[in-house]
Amino acid sequence: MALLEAENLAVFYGPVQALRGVTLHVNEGEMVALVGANGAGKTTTLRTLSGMLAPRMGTITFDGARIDGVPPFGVVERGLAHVPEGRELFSAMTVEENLRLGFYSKRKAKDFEARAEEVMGHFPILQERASQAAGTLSGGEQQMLVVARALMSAPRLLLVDELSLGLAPKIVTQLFDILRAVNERGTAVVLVEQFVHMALGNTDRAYVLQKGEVVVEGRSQDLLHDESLVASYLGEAEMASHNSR
Amino acid sequence: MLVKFGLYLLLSLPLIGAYAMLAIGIVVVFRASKVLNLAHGAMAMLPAYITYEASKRGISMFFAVPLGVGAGALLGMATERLFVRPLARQGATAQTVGTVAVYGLVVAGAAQIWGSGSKTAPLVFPAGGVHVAGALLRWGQLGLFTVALASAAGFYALFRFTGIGLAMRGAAENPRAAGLMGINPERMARFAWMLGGSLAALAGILLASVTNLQPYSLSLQMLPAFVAALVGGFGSLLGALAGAFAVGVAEGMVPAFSLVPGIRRIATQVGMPQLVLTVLALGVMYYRGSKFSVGDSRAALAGDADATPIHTAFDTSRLPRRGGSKRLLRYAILLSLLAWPFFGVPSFLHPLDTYSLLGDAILAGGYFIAASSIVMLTGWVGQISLSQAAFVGISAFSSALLSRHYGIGFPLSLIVGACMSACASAVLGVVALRVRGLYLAVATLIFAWMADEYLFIVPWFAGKGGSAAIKNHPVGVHGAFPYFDFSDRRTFYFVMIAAASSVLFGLLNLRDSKTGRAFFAIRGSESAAASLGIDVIRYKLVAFATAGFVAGIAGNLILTHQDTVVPDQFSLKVSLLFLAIAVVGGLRSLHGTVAASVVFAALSELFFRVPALGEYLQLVSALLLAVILLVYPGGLAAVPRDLRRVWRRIDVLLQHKKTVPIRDRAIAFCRQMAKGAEATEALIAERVVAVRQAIGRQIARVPVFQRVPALATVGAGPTERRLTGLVVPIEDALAGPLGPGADAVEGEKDVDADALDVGGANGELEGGRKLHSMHDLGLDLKTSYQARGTVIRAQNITVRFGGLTAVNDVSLEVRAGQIVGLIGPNGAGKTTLFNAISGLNSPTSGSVSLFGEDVTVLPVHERAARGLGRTFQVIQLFPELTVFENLLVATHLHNPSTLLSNVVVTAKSVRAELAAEETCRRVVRFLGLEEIADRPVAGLPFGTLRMIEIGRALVTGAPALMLDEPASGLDNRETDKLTELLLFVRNELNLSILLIEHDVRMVTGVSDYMYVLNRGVMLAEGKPADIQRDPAVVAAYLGEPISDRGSETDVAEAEVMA
Repeated sequence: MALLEAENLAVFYGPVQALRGVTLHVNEGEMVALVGANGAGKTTTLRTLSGMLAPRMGTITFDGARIDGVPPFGVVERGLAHVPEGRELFSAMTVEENLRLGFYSKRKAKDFEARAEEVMGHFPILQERASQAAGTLSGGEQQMLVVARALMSAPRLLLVDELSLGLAPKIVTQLFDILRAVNERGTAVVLVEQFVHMALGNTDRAYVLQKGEVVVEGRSQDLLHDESLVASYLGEAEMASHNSR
Repeated sequence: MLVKFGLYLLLSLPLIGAYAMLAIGIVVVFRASKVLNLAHGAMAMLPAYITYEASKRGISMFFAVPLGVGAGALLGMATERLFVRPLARQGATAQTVGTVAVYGLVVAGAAQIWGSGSKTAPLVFPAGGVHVAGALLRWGQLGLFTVALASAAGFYALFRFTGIGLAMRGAAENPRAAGLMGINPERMARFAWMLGGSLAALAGILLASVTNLQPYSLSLQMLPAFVAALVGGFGSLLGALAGAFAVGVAEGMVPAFSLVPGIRRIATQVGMPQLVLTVLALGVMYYRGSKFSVGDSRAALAGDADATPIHTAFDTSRLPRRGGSKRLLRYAILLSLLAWPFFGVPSFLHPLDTYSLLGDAILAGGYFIAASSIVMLTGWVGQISLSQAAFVGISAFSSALLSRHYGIGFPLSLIVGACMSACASAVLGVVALRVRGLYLAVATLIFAWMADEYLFIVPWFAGKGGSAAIKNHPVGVHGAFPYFDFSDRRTFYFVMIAAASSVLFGLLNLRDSKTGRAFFAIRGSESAAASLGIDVIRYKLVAFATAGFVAGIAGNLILTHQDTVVPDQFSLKVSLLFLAIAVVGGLRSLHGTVAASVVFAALSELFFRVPALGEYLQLVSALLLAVILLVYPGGLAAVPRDLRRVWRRIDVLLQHKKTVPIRDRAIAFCRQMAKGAEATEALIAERVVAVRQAIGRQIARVPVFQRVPALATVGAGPTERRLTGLVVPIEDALAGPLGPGADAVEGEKDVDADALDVGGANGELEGGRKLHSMHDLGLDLKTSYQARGTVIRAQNITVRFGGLTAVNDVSLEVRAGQIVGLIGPNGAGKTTLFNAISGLNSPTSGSVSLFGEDVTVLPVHERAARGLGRTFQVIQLFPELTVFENLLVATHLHNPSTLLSNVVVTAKSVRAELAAEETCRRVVRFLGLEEIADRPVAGLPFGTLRMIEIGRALVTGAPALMLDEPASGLDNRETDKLTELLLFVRNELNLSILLIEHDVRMVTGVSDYMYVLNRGVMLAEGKPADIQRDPAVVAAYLGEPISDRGSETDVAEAEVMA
């Protein structure tokens, strides 16, 4: 059985339907990408999975238990962490305090040091900035901090939204390397990414969303060489959806 | 002398302590729930009484104090639970008014139980004290200061070093992120309220033990604490502590300047410390105001779908429009009001006599005039004011001043007094330009406090002896006909009716005019208002001055009627009463406020008549406010509408029991949603209910005699709409939200309901209307749009936010009749560039010109006036206005009428109005929005909203349009329709369009020329076909490393926030 299973998710923003029956699953230790044009529902999907949005229809099962309708603070405790779009740091607080808040769901202040050390292994630069206010970090460091903060809860599944947003390619590559390292230690990752090649090049499997529906699903390597997918990003959207599967 | 200064300082220690504790509580609560707790004073006062009671019953202070503190925590928790959280949906203003209700309830309740006289509170610390330089510093005073320092330290430690403190700080700073960390932000907010309440309680108990116990004065100690919190920046504990020092020292030390010879008289004036502090606070707001905005920037920056465009306010129902048939009723009422004093009191009103009824009517009129100024300022413009009574008072006292010094009497003093209030109010308006929302509420609160403590006491303004009088001069000759003695109650009744109805009609006219629309627009969205050419600064000042003027009319009338006034008539308490009247009336509605004024006047008559009810008036009005807020937020204004609705439902039930066969469609829908899998029975049932609700709402709208044919057609054909305007798009209803209760058609969700029945417009937008008709109608519009040459030119624009360079040395150009596309990945700086061109932010360097004129330094509305229209990424329509009214707002620039001509409705303003409406009608026809023209935009489908926003930009007649992601959120058909529209306005109307778009297919289809922005720099420009083939563009979109563009470090510097 898969670690996470989402079935027929329908999500609305007021009168607008953002997801139209999205079904997806994530296996233990897997790395999955959600790609698609802007407004396709990628971010909405992640928000629904982590409980920030409640689906009007559909179910989400994580580790065998239903989590649809559970608020985010309940979802984190079960081992599902979310790196939200737009960073959402506690920018007036220090790097260390941000990490402590990331550890909040564990409720064991004693183990903080050990966990922090483990996470910091991936982010040596943050170690140096531990007592600096998060808002004063550079964009790349902030993004690292958000990932580190999410990892503090030792999640079994990490949702990552638009890691590359506003960052230089070098830093993005670095961040993707870190994600892969995290993944290799057993944490499953779902990432939403506007840069298709980045997303597909770094994952095992991928879903392509369009207008709130999953239109293509497959191995990332296969999709990477699918010309029609690229076309769907620079016009001729219809072609892509017919071509696949 | 230095010793004496030191002594004054020492004696201000207890003040500092009390203010520090109160201010810290205010800040903790504010940070956690973004609510201004005006019940904070009550949370200090009630526990002091509880401790007093406990100690009176022989309970030792060792237990009595914790008991009181616990009561404070409970009161805090109850306020959060019963008022703040339930009112969250209605917004921060409603929450703040909710705390006003708590304040009213608790203070009036305490006055009821313990009387409003002062009592001696039990000592917490031992009697006696230390003598310092001849003055006695009591242990209680020292203890207060010490406890304050200790609790400040304790709170600091709590927030700094404990897990829960960390979680509270996190939840306060970013509740969304906190939720993702496993923190329940609601629980943290509740905890903050408990902490705030208990600290307030401690302050109250200790303060009472060194001063005395009195419901009002003790609870009003929160006002200087608000000043302290404000001076401290409303952000941190240390700030609050520092603010408390500033305020306490100022209050304690200002009198010390009586030792300095030159300024002795000024320094010893009563209330001088309050004046100094008010000036200090307003100054802080003015100079640091821009730093005070809370969290708004995040929502503005987010720009994604969950930043919902439709915000709920007090009452999302549509604003009332002028009605022809109602006018007759209005005149009939007015006539009977004028006539009845000549016939005496009708028999059903006995035992009331004419004399007291006249008095009640005068009171109601005064209430109405004062409260209507709140309706205008808070209900229409969205500027919350807690000091309207102060403006009433300023007019009253300055009228008395005029009478005293210059012998100016009633009719003239009315104008002068009202103008004085208008000026004072405009001063607050200047502060309001810098701060928003709740900070403005604090400013008005502080102003009210200053008026209470200084302005209405100081002899030069208020006269000697605590009251001010006017000498009424009768107009005319006694005995001959035109003779008016204003001290005669019957004469004055007519004056009041004339004044109140002038205010009513004047404000109604104002509401339906250019000025009124500008007010609503500012309330809805300041940036959208500015983009339509509305000078936001000017209109805010106009609103404040007008509100002050109206309140001033009431002040002068009160004085004229009573001959003398006392400061107590204009205290904060009275301001809150006026606010209560406006809220009970419905806050937006003048008619509702008329009704509420009558209700409150009747209440006061009732309580006057029945001695047993005694002082319950305060309590009852607070209760009324609380109930209306929580249970019936539409207020009295919503009563007729709801009665009509109930009647229609009864009517429907009586006539038709027929149901529509929708179950099959619900099953099909669920199956489709579930992608072939069988849907559960519960889901199907839920969808069936959703459709039934939609149909119920529809039928309620159809005239009775047309219902049978209407019902017959529901769900019958593929289009589901025919006949009688009954529109039930079942597909929308199936996908729509469920209303409250299984069979309800009630008020709250009505906004959602409206979303369901715009199938008409939906159908049209999705391609029902053919282009040729668009052509015919569109040509009507053509004359207004003519331009040649380069329309928009941005040269070398660089925008930096702090250290981040969002846009770096970018140039672009739009020529007449071109559509120019601007694309780029998320965060490329597109919107930042857009805002620099439209004037929402100013570029760090570079220049912008429109039609050849340099506009780099001009504000948004000036650029709009030069012919630049725009739409927004997150739709910024004015939710409580109808579609048509939204368009009307955009005629602002072409409407030459003035404020005064709007109030009295001159022929010129009518002509301008008719012309404006004609323009809008054309655009409505052009876009095919006829069927929904009179619907409020809140709740319309997304695609329709996009069209309306573009329509609004078209109404401005601007030859250059900037559209920020117009296709986002649209489905394919709607996008095609949009494409068609854009091509049409370019080809036939010769408009020039700058278009940001993510939908690359759409943008390459319509653009004549394209620019590609990436990481703040222009990556490419050219014809769409070339852009699509450009390898650098492809790479930027797909995320492949860009090695040939700029050095790595440069790019790293250009990390972008857009």
